[in-house]
Amino acid sequence: MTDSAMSVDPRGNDSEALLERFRARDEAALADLYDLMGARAYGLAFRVLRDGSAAEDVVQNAFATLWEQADRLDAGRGSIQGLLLTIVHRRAIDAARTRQRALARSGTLEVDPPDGGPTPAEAVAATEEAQERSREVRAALEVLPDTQRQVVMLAYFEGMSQQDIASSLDVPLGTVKSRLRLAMQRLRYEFSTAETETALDQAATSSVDADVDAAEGSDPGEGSGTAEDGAAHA
Amino acid sequence: MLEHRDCAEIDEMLPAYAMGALDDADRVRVDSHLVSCDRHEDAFAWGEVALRLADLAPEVTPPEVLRERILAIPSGPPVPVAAPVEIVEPAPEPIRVEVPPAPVADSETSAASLPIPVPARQHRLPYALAAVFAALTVLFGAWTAILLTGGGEEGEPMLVAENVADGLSAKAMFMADESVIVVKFDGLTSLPEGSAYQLWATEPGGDATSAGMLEVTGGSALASMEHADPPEGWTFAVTIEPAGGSATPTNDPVVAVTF
Repeated sequence: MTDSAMSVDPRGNDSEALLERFRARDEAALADLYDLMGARAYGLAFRVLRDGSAAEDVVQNAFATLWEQADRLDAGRGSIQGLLLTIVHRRAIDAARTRQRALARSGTLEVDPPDGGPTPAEAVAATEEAQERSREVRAALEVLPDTQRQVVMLAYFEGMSQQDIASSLDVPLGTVKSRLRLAMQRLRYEFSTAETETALDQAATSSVDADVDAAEGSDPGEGSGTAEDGAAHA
Repeated sequence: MLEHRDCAEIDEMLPAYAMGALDDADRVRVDSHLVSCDRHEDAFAWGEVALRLADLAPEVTPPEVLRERILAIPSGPPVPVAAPVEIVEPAPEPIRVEVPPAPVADSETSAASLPIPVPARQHRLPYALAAVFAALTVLFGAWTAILLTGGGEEGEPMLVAENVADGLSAKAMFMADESVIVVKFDGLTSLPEGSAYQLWATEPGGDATSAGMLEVTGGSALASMEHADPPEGWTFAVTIEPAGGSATPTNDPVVAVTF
């Protein structure tokens, strides 16, 4: 599971602990997961649906799904936070497409997003961690050609199928398929590279810390080296 | 069971599947393939890529009532609220329901106030389904299939019907190129021990016929059945029955969809 979906809260609810508590049917785990992820899950559903009521239903359904399937959760298949967001996204797309088809059948064109959603004032101020996660994704997206980035955004946040996108952009279906496939391959590479760099940075930082600790714990006469010295030695 | 496409073709669709960019027909195909084929570990990796995009969505404070709804989940969900249905024929005629296309539901006035009559006599088995419902299959057995999304462009369903209300949804597709009907239900809640969801099919002018018990996984159940002709006018409904099923429906449908 990516770091983006991993969170550790002050009560020690890291992903694995939370998942184990779900498996143990610890009802307090439901509240903890909601407190940890509720705003992200609701924000994602709302971003796709732009309808507060529908977003609520989607999030509730996703939590219910996790709870019902708690005994099948497997830490090896990702964090519970990631599973939650994946289910939320899937359900949100289902709801968005259902709504679009209903509107199409009734001959109504959806001009404005439905009412009932949060106002900008209700948006949670992004934490530094959230901002960093968002920055990483934006950086990866910026690597993509505009045409590929457009397809990614239409698919993920507008819930459009490849066929819908082709019709909307008036390009051949095969072109949309190619753009999306290439975009995903590039994003996979970019995310993987970023994770590797992060891991290397963390390893370097740990090494520096270890050297500093070692220096501080050694004979004062030998402890004149700096952290940078330690890193260089490492 | 749906006929699987080649693994290479499934692999080709996985990135779009993870993004939710496949159409319903191909999504069902990928779901069903992943359940029975363990050669697609990449599906998880593509899902991880898609998941990263969720970080672009701003966090939004949900209404307080949502927390209450979620904390109430373990105490046992209420009996699922039915989609709004309109009885065409009163008792003792067979079940025939019409499902409004638009998802307009009122939880106060749906199933409870719209009882579906239970025919007193044994329902006959529609000839078209005589040997067909043996193929009833629950496809959502794999966790990956529940978590990831997908679909494609070829094999467009010839007929599509759906109904959504109060968090329950039913979607039915007839895929002419494969002569198969696929019915998918979402939002099904856990049932008390001794109860189970049962699927019923009713052809136009016919009686409700059991299409088997639904196995619910992650609130979803998927059934497929071979069917040669476009099932125009057919209704698929789900009721809560004693474990093991009933010969005829003994409760109101919790959700139904009509082609």
